[in-house]
Amino acid sequence: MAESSTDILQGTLDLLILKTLSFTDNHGWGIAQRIQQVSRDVLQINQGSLYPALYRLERQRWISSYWGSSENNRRAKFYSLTARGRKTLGSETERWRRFAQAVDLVLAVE
Amino acid sequence: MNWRPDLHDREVEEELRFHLEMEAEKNRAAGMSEDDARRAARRSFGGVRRVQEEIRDLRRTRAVELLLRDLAYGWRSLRRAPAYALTTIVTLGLAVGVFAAMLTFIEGALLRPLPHREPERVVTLWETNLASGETQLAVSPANFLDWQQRTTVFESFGLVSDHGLDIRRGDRVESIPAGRISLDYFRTLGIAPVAGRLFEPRDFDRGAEPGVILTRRFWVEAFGGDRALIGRTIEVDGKPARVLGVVPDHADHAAVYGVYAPLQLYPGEKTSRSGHWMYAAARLRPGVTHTQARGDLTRVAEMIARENPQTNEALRVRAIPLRETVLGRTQRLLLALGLGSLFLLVLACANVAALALARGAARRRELAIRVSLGASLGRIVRQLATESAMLNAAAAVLAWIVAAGVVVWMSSNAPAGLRRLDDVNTGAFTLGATLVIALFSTLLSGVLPAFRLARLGLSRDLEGTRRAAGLSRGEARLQGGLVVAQIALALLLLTGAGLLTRSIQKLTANDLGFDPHGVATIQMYLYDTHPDRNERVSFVRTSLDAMRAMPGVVAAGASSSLPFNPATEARDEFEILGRPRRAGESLTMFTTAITPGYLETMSMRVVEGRGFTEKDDASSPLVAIVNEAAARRFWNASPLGTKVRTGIMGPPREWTVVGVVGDTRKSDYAQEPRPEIFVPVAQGGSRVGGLNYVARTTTSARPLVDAMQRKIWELTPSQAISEADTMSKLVARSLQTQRFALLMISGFGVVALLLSSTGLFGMLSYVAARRRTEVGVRMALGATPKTIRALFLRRGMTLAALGVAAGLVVSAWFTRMLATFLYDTSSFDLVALGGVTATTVLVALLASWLPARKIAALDPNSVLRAE
Repeated sequence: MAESSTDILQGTLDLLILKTLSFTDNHGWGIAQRIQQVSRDVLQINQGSLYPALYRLERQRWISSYWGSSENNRRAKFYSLTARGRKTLGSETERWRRFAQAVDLVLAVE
Repeated sequence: MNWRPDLHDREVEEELRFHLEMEAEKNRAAGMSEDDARRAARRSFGGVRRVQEEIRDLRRTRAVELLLRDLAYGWRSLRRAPAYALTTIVTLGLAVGVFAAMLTFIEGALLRPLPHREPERVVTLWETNLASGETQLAVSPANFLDWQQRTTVFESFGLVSDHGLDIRRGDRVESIPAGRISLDYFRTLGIAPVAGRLFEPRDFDRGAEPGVILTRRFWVEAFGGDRALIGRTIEVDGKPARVLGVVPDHADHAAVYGVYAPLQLYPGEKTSRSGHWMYAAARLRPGVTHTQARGDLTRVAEMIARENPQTNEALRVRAIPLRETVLGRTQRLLLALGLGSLFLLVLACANVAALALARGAARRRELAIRVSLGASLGRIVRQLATESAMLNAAAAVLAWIVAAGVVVWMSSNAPAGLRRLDDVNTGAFTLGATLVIALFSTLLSGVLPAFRLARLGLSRDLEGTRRAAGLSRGEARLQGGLVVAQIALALLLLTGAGLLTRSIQKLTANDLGFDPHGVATIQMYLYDTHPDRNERVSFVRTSLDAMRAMPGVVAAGASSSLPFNPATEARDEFEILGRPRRAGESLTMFTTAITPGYLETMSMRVVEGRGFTEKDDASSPLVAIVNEAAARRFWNASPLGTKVRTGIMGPPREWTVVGVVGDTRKSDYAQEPRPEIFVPVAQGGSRVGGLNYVARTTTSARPLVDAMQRKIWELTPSQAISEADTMSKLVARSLQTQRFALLMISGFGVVALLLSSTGLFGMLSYVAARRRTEVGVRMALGATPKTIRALFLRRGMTLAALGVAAGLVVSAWFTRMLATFLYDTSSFDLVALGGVTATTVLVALLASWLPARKIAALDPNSVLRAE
């Protein structure tokens, strides 16, 4: 059943989370930090929408979660990419690329 | 799915707290103070509570969404298997509905208390005849008075005798079944008035103002339950009578009365020991047992027999507990039907469970895939249970319709002999019973298999360690036994239905001796409206002429006694003149007064001599006609011209036999014709006054019934008409009990047959589904579809044969219980047994053929590849 993820920003956030988790399992705060870091602080994650997004992705079975201990030895909820999520990441990345190219093409018209 | 929301909430909270602490730590590292770091962390997060709420909402919509998804999934998968869905719905719907209906009857007729005070202390009293074997005779007044005086165990006695009373309502007068009762009648039974009062001694005084008591039903039907009626007068038998009170509906002896009036015993009646025409009841003294009461009554009855050997030698007395008198037959029927329908329900649940298992086994692969994709055991159980709940909901709706239908049908078609069935209505109880039973059957037939299936899907196929094999031995034996039991039960019931059908066929094949079709009849008592005998006879003549003039009427006549209306029978002693009477011999015949035209209207044959004409009147020589049964029995040669001395509703006179008519069945199809003598109404005794008018039409008799009544009221507006119906209806009524038994038993039989066929079908489908792999291998190794089909058919037919054999053995015993309903049909009637066996085998064959064909159409490649 399709989730209501037509919102382009939300869709983008999902993609960023999946990409971030494709390197290593991480907790919510770590994911936010990592996205900010990698985008050189261009992408500021609205932290309030991060956790609902994580919940949704888990329900789609694209990511799964477990309780582990963080770098500073605190109990934290970690997320990891499932096989299904990895597949989705591939197709979503492809879709994003096509979308970005198309937007570029349109903007390039003088 | 997490079903512990508090735990889930706590997890979210902990996760968010961790986030905030990490954020604050980062801020601290950047040089903020402890407080600032925390505040900044909160600010950048933008509302912890809002996020928590948002996640909780997501989870809630998820639960509804899951349910909707289960429903949609269930709907899709059921639409792919309409035969399965339909079988389940019909099986459960029928079984649950029938059981709910039976419970409704048990509650309404048996569990509802009787209106009597301490009914366990009340007995009804009957005379028994040791010589003739009659066990429930009405009571003669002199014997009753002796019991009353000589027994010591009873507190009080009550007496009632059947009577019709003509009651005026508006401009119509109706003849209402009435009981004339003794003073203590209601007190003995323990019936208290719901309004007004009971009879008191002064109501029995000679010259007292006439008073009546109404039953509640008649009070409501005739007077709208008007309380103001009590204390006012109504017209009874043409005279005013005061309505003293209203009593609850109760039926304690033979008839259901609308009105009660005081009973006056005349001196002559008080000494009669041979006329049995009253009904008696008695109330035991406190502490007296029924056994003691029977002993005391027997002692007194033997005493009376010694004192009056000529009338009472063979007569004894019998006391039956009130509850048994009123509800005995009803209770036996309802308990049998209730037990039977419970049995059917259990079988139906077992069948539906077996069907669900069979279907589930075929879906193992689908379930296994779902499990491997991460569906939990609970999730799968939920999904299967949702599917079965959908089926059960549909079945419950069907069951409610079936239950209501059965209740309405049974209560409106119940024969009068089965008391209180007609009082039962559908209502909250039926609905409640249906729902509870449906819920119960859902648990039994839906949830259990769902668990078993889910486990099957998990353990066998997910791990892939064990290939699904056939059924285990125990399972196979249980299911096989279930199927055999069902087929046996179905055969049993159908045999009963078959024998009853044959009986009714044979009964209705009997020649009635008259033709009821197209004949309408109305019954009247003319004494009160036409008290003068001569005037009455001329009224009969003119009113019959008026009827003959009505359009469509081809013949009309009247008779003091009508076939299939035993209430009008009369019997009298007679003597054939010139033939010596043997000592002690007493000859009796039915005596009937008829008018010219009666024999023609009824299409009775005149075998010898002539019928009556208008010339046979009071002034001409007395003439009579006898039937063939009388001629055979009492005359060696032709009776024509001989003289018979007898009284026909008057003092004895001498009649010359002028004709012989064909025999007619008198009260029902089964009874052999009995000797009967006919005389003209115009010559009959002064008591001839209760007459049945009959008229024959070439078209439909039903409208003629009303037309005849209108004609009578045109001539005598105050005339009461007690029975108005078509002759065919009267004849059909005599078969009511047999037909009712037939319908009930064949209804159950058909349900049982349906169940056993779905049971067989379900079991074979299950076996087939579990043995797919084996069949695939066999086919790959060269087995043809034909041999596979034969394999499964053989299994089905073996079970069917076992069931039929068991059913035949048990039915030999069962049909003996039906003996009282059977006529001229042995329990081993070959036509009935053959027909029933053939039907059962044929249905079993069909039920095995379908799964056999399906498995034989299997493509071995696909099965083996899938493995």
